[in-house]
Amino acid sequence: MALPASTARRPRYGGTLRVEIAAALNSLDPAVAAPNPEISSAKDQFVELIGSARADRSSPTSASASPFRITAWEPAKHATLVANDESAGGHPFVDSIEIQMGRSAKDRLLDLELSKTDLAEIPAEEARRAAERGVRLSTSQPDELIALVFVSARPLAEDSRAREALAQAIDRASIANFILQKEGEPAGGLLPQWSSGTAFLFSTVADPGRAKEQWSRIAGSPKILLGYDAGDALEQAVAERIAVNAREAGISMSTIATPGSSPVPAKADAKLVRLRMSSSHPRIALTSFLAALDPVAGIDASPLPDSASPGQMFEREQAIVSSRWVVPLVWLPQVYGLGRRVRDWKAPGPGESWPLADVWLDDMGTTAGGAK
Amino acid sequence: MRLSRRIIPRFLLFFFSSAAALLAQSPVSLPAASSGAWSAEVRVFAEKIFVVLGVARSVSLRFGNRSALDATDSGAAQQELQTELARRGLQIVGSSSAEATLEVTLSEGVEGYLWVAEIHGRAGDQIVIATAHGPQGIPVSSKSVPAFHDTLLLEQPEPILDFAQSAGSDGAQFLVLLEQDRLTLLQRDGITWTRRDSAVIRHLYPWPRDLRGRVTVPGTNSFRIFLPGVSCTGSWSTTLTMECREDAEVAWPLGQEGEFPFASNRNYFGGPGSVRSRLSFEWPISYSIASIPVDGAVRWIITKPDGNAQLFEGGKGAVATFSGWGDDIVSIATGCGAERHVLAPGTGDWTQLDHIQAYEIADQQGPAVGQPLDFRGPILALWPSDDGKSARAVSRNLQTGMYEASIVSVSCGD
Repeated sequence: MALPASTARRPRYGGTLRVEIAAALNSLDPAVAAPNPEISSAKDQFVELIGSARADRSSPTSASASPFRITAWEPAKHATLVANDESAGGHPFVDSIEIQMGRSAKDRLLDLELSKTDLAEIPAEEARRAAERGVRLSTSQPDELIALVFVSARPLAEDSRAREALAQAIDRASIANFILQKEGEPAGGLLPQWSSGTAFLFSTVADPGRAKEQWSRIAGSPKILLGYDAGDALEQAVAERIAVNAREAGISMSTIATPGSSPVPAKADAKLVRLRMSSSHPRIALTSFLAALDPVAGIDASPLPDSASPGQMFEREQAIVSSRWVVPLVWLPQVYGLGRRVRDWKAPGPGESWPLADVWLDDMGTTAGGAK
Repeated sequence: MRLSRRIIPRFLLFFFSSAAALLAQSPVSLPAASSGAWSAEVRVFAEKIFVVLGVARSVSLRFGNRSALDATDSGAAQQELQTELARRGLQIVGSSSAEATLEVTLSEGVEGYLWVAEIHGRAGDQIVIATAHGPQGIPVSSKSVPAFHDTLLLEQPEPILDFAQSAGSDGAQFLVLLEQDRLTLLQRDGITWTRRDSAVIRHLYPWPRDLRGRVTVPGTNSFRIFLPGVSCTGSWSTTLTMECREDAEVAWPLGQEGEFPFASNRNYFGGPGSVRSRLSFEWPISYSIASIPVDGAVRWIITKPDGNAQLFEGGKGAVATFSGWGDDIVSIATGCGAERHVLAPGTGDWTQLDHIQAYEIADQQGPAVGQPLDFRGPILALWPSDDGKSARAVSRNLQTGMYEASIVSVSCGD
C-alpha cells in the first residue's frame, strides 16, 4: 500500500473522515430494519463498521464506551458520528465520521479518485482497475469463499457422479484470473491456507476428462440448473463461467437468477454461495461455514469440538469436499480504497470491526488538533 | 483431484485416535536424540510417520516450505527431521529404489506451524499432520550496520511504552517496564528476564489513544514515570512500591537538559496550556524534543505536526527545517564526528516497516550519516536513555505481532 512521499509517523488528531459504503441501512433497530433482505440486521452491520468493542487500549478505569456516537441518521443515505471523549481507548484520532450509504461501486471509485471520500469498499473484482486508476488499496487476507453447493433432495444433486463431474469440470484458475482479475485465488478446501495451514493439500486443478467420464455414466439427458443471487453481478459472472466449463466437459447446464434471500432456491440443483469467515481461527470459521451450508447441502454440520486438532479439522473438511456436496471455487479478499490522507488503516480480519478509531488524517500543515 | 483419490478419511480417523496407543507400545531402543531447535516436535512427527510407514524402511524424501520461515530456518528444520528419521533406521534413497515416497511440508496457519507428511506407499496414500511450535532459542540476529549497535532486551505481546535498565548495589540487573496500566519490575536471570513484581497505575480519565509514557531511573532501586496527566514515583527493595498523582500539567524529562509539558489528553508536548517554556517563545506543539549542547549553549530540535523537524539555536527561533524525519527523535552522545547525533525513525505509518537513521547537525544542516538500522515493524517509541549515550526503542514486529524493547547506540563505525 503506497503512501505519499511526504507523511508523518505519529498519529495526528482532528478532522472528519469521509466513508462510503455499499449497504443502505434503513434503521439501527433490527425490528424495523431492512426491507432489503440482504441486511439481516442493520445494527449489527453498523456496529461492525464503527467498531464499538475494540479490545486494545481498554482501560479498567472507564466503561467500554464506543469510540463514536451517532449524531445524525438519514435512513439508507447518511450518518454522522462524532468522537466520544469517554471512550475506553481514548478520544479517537478523528473528530467525526461522515458515512454515505448505498453508494454504487462505480460512484465509490469515482469519489476516491476525486478525493471526495477517504475510505470506501471496493469489490475485489474491481481492485485491479482501481489500482490502475491510482487509487490506494488496502487488501485483507482472502477471507470470503465462493462455493458451489448442491441442493440436497434434488435427484440430480443426489447423484454422486453428477456432483463429481461438475466439480472436476470447473476451471477455478480462470475464475480467479479473468473474472476476479487475479484478486482472488483458487480454493480447494473450506479454509484458506493462511488460516488452516492445510489448504495446499486440496487440489484446485480441473480434470475435464474425468468430468466427461463421470457424466457419461449418467443415464438419460439430465441438465444441471445452477442458481445465483440475482443481485450479485460477481456470482452471475462466475455462474456463467462454470456453465462454459460444464459444456466443454459435455455436461448440460444452465443458470438461473434466484432471490438472494432464499437459502434453498426453488428449482436449482445447485447454487452459488458467498461465505465470509467469522473468525481467523480455523475451527470457528469452519463451524460457522458448516452451519451456513447445512440447510442447503447434505453435509455433516455438527460443530467441531473446542479441542479439535488440525488433523481433525482437515479430516472434516476433506470429508465434505470429497463428497462434492460443496465445491469450493475461489477465495476473495476484502478490498478498501483509501484517500491520500488516510493513515494507520489496517484491513480488518474476519470477525473484526473496522478500526476507524485508530485511523488518522495526515493533513500536512494543519494543526495537531486541540487539547483540553 | 489430487487429494481425493488418495485420502481415506476413515483411515485418518483411525490414525489420529490410535497413533498414541501404537506409539506407547513401541519398545524401540534408539540412539540418543539430537537437541536442535525443533527437536521435540520433530521426534513426535517422526514417530507418527513411522506408524504410518509400517514395515517400509526406505523412502524417498521431498521437503517443502509453505511457512514464513526463511530458507535457513526451514532448512534447519528439514535437517533435524532427516537426522531423526535416520536415527530411527530409515534410509533416505532415490525414488526408484524407495519402498515409499514421503513428501514433507512445513506449513503455517494462524495457530502456528504445522508439519504435514504425504506418504505414498504400499498401504495407499496417507497424510500425517502434527503441530509444531517452531524454532526455539533462535538468537535475535544483530543487525550488521557498522555504526549502529542494537540490542533486543525483551519482547512480549502486550504494548510497551518505555523501559529503563538499572543495576542494584549488589550487581543485580533490573529492567523497569512501563506498560499501559502497569509498571513491572524484572530481574535478569541468566539470559532471560524474570518478572519480580508489578504495580497498577490508577488514573481517573481514559488514556489518550496513542498513549505515550516515560520511565526514568534517577537512583539505585528507584524510578519515576510520566504519562499524560499522571506522574508516579516508586522504589523497590523487597517489594515494589509506587505512588501516583493526577497532574494535567505534568512535565516530562527529556535527556539532561530540561522538562517539558505534555498534553494530558493527546500525544504531544506543548500546545495550548503549556506552562513552562524553556525558550523565550511559546512552546510549540511537538512530538519530540532533542537537545544538542554546543559550547555552553543548547540547540534544540523539535518535530512538528506538519511532519517537519525544526532546529532552534541561540533563542533566535527556527533557523533550519529538516524534512523526511519521523516524529520521534533523540539526541545521543556518540563520541565521534559531531560528538552527538540525532536519531530519527522513518516516515510512514504504523502499518509499515521502519528504520532508524542517524543525522549529524552542523552549520544548520542535518545530513544523514551512516546506514539506517532496519526494524521489522514500526518504531512506536524512541526515548533517550538516562545517561544520554543510547536510545531506547520500542517497536512492533509486524510478522510476529510482538512488541520489542531495544537499546540502540551509535559508535564510530567503519
